Amino acid sequence: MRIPLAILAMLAAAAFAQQDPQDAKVAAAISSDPVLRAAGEEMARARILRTLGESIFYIEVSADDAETFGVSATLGSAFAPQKSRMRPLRVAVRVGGTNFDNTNSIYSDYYSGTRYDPDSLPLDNDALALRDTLWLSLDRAYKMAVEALGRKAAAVRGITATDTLPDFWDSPGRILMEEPRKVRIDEDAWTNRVKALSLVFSRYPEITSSTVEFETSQGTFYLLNSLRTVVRTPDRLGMLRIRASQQAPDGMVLYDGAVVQSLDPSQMPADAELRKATESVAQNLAGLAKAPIGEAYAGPVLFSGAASAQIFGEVMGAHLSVMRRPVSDPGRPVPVPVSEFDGRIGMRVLPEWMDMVDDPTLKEYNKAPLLGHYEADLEGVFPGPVTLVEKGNLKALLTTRQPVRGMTGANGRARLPGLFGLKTARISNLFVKAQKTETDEQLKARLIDMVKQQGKPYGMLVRKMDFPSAGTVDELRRISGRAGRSGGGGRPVSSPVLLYRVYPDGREELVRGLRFRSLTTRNFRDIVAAGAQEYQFDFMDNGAPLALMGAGNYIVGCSVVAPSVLFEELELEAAGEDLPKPPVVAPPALTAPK
Amino acid sequence: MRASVLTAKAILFTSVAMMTGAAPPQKTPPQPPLIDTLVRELDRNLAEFKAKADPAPYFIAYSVTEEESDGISARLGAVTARGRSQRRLLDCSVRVGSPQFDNYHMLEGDRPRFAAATPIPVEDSPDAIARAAWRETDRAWRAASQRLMRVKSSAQLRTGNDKSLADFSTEKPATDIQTVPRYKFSMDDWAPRLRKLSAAFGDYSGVINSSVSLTWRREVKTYVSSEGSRLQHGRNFYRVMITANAKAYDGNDLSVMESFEAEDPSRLPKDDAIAAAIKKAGADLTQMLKAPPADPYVGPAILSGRAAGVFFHEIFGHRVEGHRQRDETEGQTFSASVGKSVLPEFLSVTFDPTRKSTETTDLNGWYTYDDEGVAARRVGLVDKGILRTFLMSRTPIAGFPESNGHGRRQPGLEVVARQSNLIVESSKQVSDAELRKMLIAEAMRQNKPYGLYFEQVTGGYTTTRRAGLQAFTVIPLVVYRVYTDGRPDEMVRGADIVGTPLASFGKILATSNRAEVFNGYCGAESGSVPVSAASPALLVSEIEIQRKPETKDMPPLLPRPRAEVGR
Repeated sequence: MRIPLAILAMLAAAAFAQQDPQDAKVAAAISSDPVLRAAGEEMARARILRTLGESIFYIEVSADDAETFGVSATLGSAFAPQKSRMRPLRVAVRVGGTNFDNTNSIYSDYYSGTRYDPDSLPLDNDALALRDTLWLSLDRAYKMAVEALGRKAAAVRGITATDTLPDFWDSPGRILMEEPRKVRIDEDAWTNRVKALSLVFSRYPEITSSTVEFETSQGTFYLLNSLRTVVRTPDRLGMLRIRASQQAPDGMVLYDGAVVQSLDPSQMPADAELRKATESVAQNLAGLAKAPIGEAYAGPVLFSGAASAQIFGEVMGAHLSVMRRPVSDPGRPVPVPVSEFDGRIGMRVLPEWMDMVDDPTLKEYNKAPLLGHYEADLEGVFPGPVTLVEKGNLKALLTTRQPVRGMTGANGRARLPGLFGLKTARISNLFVKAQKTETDEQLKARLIDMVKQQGKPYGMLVRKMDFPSAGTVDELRRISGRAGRSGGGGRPVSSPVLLYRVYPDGREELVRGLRFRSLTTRNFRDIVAAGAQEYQFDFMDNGAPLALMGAGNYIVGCSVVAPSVLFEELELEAAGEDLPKPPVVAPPALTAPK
Repeated sequence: MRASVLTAKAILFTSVAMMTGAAPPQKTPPQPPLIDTLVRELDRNLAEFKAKADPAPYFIAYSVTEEESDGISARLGAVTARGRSQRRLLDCSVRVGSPQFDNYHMLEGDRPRFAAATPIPVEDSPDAIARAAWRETDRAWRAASQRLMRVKSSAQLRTGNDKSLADFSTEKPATDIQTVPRYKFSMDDWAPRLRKLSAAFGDYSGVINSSVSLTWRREVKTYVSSEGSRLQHGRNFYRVMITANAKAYDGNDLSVMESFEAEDPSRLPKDDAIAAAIKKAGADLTQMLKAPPADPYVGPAILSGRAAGVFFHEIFGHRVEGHRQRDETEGQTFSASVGKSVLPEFLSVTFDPTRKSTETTDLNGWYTYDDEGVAARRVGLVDKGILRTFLMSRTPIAGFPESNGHGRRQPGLEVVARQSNLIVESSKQVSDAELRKMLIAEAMRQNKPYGLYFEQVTGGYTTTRRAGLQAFTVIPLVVYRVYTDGRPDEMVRGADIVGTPLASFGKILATSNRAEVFNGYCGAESGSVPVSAASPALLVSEIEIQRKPETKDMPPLLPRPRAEVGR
C-alpha cells in the first residue's frame, strides 16, 4: 500500500515542529548533522506506518561512526595492520503499547521476509543514500515488530502469565550534541611499539605462543528516538592486549593475559608501563610452570588487590543485570542466564558494613581515569549514580528500558546490544566500599588465624583472576560445561591465575590447576573482612562469558574500585582434565636479539 | 544436502587472467626468506619426529597463503564500504603410515581434516614463523597419528574392493619461484567513479537495493614439502561487480547481476561499459517486475553460453572429481564409464588451468600449481562424447594412480580434486539465429506454445551423494519465452532449472558457434575455489523448470525517499 506523497511531506515537516517546545529544539539540533537529519526525516515518515494494523509507539535509531586501527605482533614480527571505517546502524521499533509490546519474545528478533537493508549506514554523508538505508531498516523493523507482537500475543493466550510487568519504561527527552573529537594515531609508532613489546617474550623460550595487540577506535555515537532525545557524543578507545601461553613440564596448558586501556587513545600509558605489563605476563607463566599442582580446598580465601575488584566486576556485575525470561511457545524452554538478584531487592547480599555504588558520571577517581564513563546509553537514557547496595542490602539493579521486578524506571545502563529486541545492562564505574576496614597485612594475618583455628595446613590467597579471560574458546567451553553443574545460575566463573597457599608462618606458595567449585553472589554475604586500601581494575566487557578477550563485536569500558576482601569459605577443586602430552619436537631456537 | 555450490555472487572477489602483452609472472632465482624458514623448520621437525615419534611422519608439507585485498562498494552515489586487509595463513600437512595406507585414508564419508589456517606474521623474520610451523606440525602430527590408528582398525572390519589403492600418489617434486606481479593501481581513484556509476540505479524506481563494487585481491602461495618441492606462485584478481534487487508485488524476490574480471587492472572495463551494464541491469529488473511468474514447464530451451557453463559445471564437472569415484557414499555416476560414451559425440570437455583467457574473456580458474604442489595441466576429460579420465589430486583412484594437477582447496581445509577452467567444445555449431530457429521448430514439434531462453544465471548447486537425490539446480536470473507464433519474446520470472544429470546429457541437440564464460567461485568440501566455465549456447530438447521457493513478504510499505521530502 502506498501513502500519498503530499500527506507524507506534510507529516515529515510537522514531525519535529510546533507541538512541543522540545520538538523545535530537536529539529534545530539535528538540522546541522547529516546523519541525525536523515534519521529524523525517515523516523518522521515511519511514524505514520499503520499499514499492518499496528501503530508505532517508540522508534529509536542509533549508529556508531568509527575509524579503527589495529596491529599485532609476535616475537618481534608484525601481522598486517588492520584499518577500517564503519557505521554500524541499530534501529528499534516498538508496536503494541508500553504494557505489552513486541519485545521480550523469542520471535522479537525474527524476520520471516527477505532482508534488503544493509546493517550499516553509507560512509559518505549523502542525504539520499543515508535516508535510503534508514528507510529499508525501519521498514524491516516495523514488519518484524508487527509479526513478533502477533506471535507473542498468540503465545500468551494459552497461559496464565506469572510475569505481569509492563514492557517499556519511558524516559524524558534530552538533547546532548557534542563535537566529534579525534586524535591522530601514529600508526607506525604503534606498529614499532607493539613489535618491540612482543620481543619481551623472546627472552622466555619456554613460552609456546604469545601476541601483543594494539587496537584503537575513534568515532561518534549517534542516537535519535521518538521521545525527543538526541545524542551525539565522541566515542573513543585505545587498548593494548598481551596474551601468552606455555605448557608446563607435565603438559598442563597455562595462559595469562593483561590489558591496558584508555578512553583517550592519546593518553595510553608510557612505554615503561606497557613493558611492565608485558613482562608480568611472561613472569607469571614462568612462575606457574614451576609451581606445583594445587589440591582440592575448602576454607577461607583472601582476594587481594585487583583480584577483589575482578570478582566484584565479574560476579556481582553479571547478576546486577536482570534479564526477564522471554515469552516463548508453551512448553518450549528458553535458556537465558538467570540473575540471582532477580526479585531480591531489600535482601542482604553483602555484609552490613559494605556498600556498592555504580557511577558512570565520574571520569576519574583519585586522579586515575575511569573507564566506565559515558553520557547516554544505547537507548538514549542519561545515567546517574545508582546506590546498588546499602549497608549490605540490595537497593537497586542496573536497568534498561525493560521493566524488571522491584525497580521503577530505566537508569541508563543499556550498554550492550541484547537479544529479544532488548539491550543488555552493564556496570559502569562500580565502587565497593567498606565501613569496617583493616590493613592488607591485617587481612593476611586474619586469614592465617582462621586457618590455624580450623586446623588447616594453609589458607588461600588470590592475586589475579583470569578475567577478562585470556584463554581460548575451547577453554571457555570446558569452564562453561562445568558451570552448569555447580550452581551460580549456570554462569561460568573465571579461574584464578595467581593463586597462593598461605602457610601459618606467612610463607606464600604459588599453585596451579585449581578452579572455584562455585563462586556465586551468595558467597559475598559471608565476606568477613575488607581492606582499607582501594584497588582499581579496568576492563572491557563484550557480553561474552568471562568477557573473553577478542570475543563479541561490541565492547564497553568498565572500572571497578574495591578493597581486598576475605571470604569465610570458598571451595577450590582441581581442573581435572586429561593433560595433553608435551610436544615431541623441542621448540625452535630463538634467534632474535635478547 | 548441498554437495557443492557455484556462485558468482556469494564471494566478493574473483579473477582472471592475462592475455599476451600483460606482464607474465617472472621467474627469479633467489629463494625467498619465507621458504628458507619453512624448509629449515620442516627438516628439523621431520628429523626429530623420525627419531622420536611412533608413528613417524613419512611426509610433511607447509603451505602459506598470503592474501592482500582492498575493495570499495558504492550504493546510490555514496560509498558504503571500504576495506583493506592483508594476512598470511599457514597450513601444515603431516602424513604418517605409508603412501599405501596413511592417515588420509578415505573411509565412508569420514572426512579427514588436519589443516587449520593459522595466521602468521606478514614479516619474514624467522622466529615467529618457525614457532608457528613447529606448533602446527605438532598439532597436525597428533591428529594424524590418532586418525591413522582409527582408520586402521576400521579398515580391518570392512569389505571393499579398493584395498589395493594407495592413499598418496608419487609425484615429482617441483621447484619454481615466481614473482607475482604487483600492478600500479589506485583504489582511491575508483571512489568518485563508483559514486557516479552507482547513482544511476536511482533512475529505476523499482530497485530496492543495489551495489557497484570494485575488489582487488593478490594471492601468493608458498609451498614446501619433505619431498623437496619449493614453490612460490600466485596471481591477482580484480573484479567489478554490479548487483541490484527488487521485489515483485507478490513477494517474489528478483535480482540481477553482472561482473567483469581482470588480472591486470588496465584490462578492467571503462566507465561507459560499466554504465551500460548498470543500465541493462536496471532495465532488466524493471521489466522483470512487470513479467508474469513462470509456470512449471517441460520443453525445449536454449541455455546461453554462460548458463550452459554453469549447467556443465554442476551436472558434469562435480561428478568427474576423482575422489568421488573412491568414496562409497558418493553416487559415482561415471566411475565405470571410462572409455564409454557419456555425452553426445559432438561434444568435448576439457579442464584447462593453464589457459588464462578465451578470445573474449579472462578466465577465473587458472593457476600454475595446485595446492599439492603439482603443476597445472590441461586435462581432456571427454573426447567426442567419450569419457577419458577424471580430475585428479594426489589421491589415487582405480586406474588413475597419479595427480593431474587438480588438487585444490581454500586455506584451512584439506585438498580434494576440484574443477578449474571447464571448456566445452562442439563440432555441431550453428549461428545464434539458426539455434533460435531450431528452438522454435523443436517447440512446434513438441506442440508447445513456446520454448525458453535462459540468458543469465547466477549459479547452481548439485548433490552427488548417494544419500541424496542425484539432482542439480541452476538458478536463472533472466529468462524469456520464445513463442512459436512469432509474438515477441516475453520475459518471465521466478524459475529454477531442475533435473537429473544422466537424463539431461542425451537431450543436447546442438550448440551455437560463440562461447561465453561464467566466472565465479565454486564451494565444495575443500572450500571455495575460483573457477570458470566456458561453453557455447546449448539447445536442449527438454528442460524442466520449477517455481522458485519464495517468501511472500511485502515490498517496502513506504515509497523510496526522495530529495524533496522533508525539506
